Amino acid sequence: MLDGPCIIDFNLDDTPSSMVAFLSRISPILRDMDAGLPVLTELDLRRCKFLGPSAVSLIASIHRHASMRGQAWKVQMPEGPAKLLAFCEFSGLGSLLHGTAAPPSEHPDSETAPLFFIQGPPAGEAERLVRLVARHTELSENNAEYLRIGFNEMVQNVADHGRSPVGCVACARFVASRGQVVVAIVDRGVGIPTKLRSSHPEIPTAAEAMRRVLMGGWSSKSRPNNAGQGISNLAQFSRMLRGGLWIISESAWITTRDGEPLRAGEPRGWRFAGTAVFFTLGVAEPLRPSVP
Amino acid sequence: MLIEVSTIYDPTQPVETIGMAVANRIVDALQSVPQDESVRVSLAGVRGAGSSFYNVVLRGVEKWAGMQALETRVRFEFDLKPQEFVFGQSLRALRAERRSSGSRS
Repeated sequence: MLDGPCIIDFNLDDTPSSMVAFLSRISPILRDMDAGLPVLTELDLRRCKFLGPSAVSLIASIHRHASMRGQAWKVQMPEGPAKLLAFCEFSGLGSLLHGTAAPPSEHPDSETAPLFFIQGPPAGEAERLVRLVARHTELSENNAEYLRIGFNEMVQNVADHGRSPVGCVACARFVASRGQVVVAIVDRGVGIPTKLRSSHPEIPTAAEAMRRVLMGGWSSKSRPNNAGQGISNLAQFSRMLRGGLWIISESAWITTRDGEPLRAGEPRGWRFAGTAVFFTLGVAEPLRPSVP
Repeated sequence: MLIEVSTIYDPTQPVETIGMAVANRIVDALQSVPQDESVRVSLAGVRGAGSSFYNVVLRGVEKWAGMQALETRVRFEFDLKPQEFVFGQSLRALRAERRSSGSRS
């Protein structure tokens, strides 16, 4: 445990680089958790000026897992700007961390699908994302279905392989200016590298395991419905809908471009027990500035 | 014969259960029509079904009716592009698996 808190003095904006930096900064907290310490190092977000669904889902998954294990954890919430304070409330992060009343989840102006927790396989939760986008823009039947299937593929993966004690922790946001929905799904179970390498021990590294699941056809085949296509299908959806996909699992991370693996890495110094999948799909036309 | 999957599909049920129910309906239909007739399987109205669902359906039909019947006597119909894409990927994976197991034998 550190003498002081883990201070986040940069923005957590749903980019791979900010999330990798975040995980590196909170590595003492992750180590405390793995060591079973009763009190975890504090997280200080007061200097952070932007949080996205990715950070909210990661923090919520850690918090819920720690609570289940009886580990105490204090988080200092951001102090501004107003838009970030609103996001902290409407994402449900504030109520989760401080036990306050849950915010209204489907306000017509809300750009957020607040944190939700899924135990087991998908059972219609993807409709929350469809309703989120449909509140703000016209959503075609095809794009709504890409969103449903992409989300369900990830939740099914966790149910099949993850054995996550917290199930899936999900959060989403619609970014009207880009016409994109940003979705984060985090679990705290068995990671992709461990699971895949248990049935394919010839795979040399965790990053290589990540690359193979993105390419498709690689699976532990632990259940009859597995053929190793869920993640590669989502990668293809992100290609078709000018979006992106990136994944952190255990000690490795990977990003895509045009549906193909782009960059992968295994940074030293941190390990996230579980898997975090972040994807964006351009389900609507970006807003163009109006011409006077 | 036409099977409308939307009358069977329940997204709150486990994918193995619902996929096997659809596969059984297809196999029953294949057995009840003449050998030279096909079975149409409409996915119209089915929403959110991912690769796991199609894997169970395709593997179930292949197991009980054979790959040839699956390829030649079952016609899947879709009302949305994502369904067709995911189904196509599942069918491609099944074919690849069978080719690879055939080449080893």
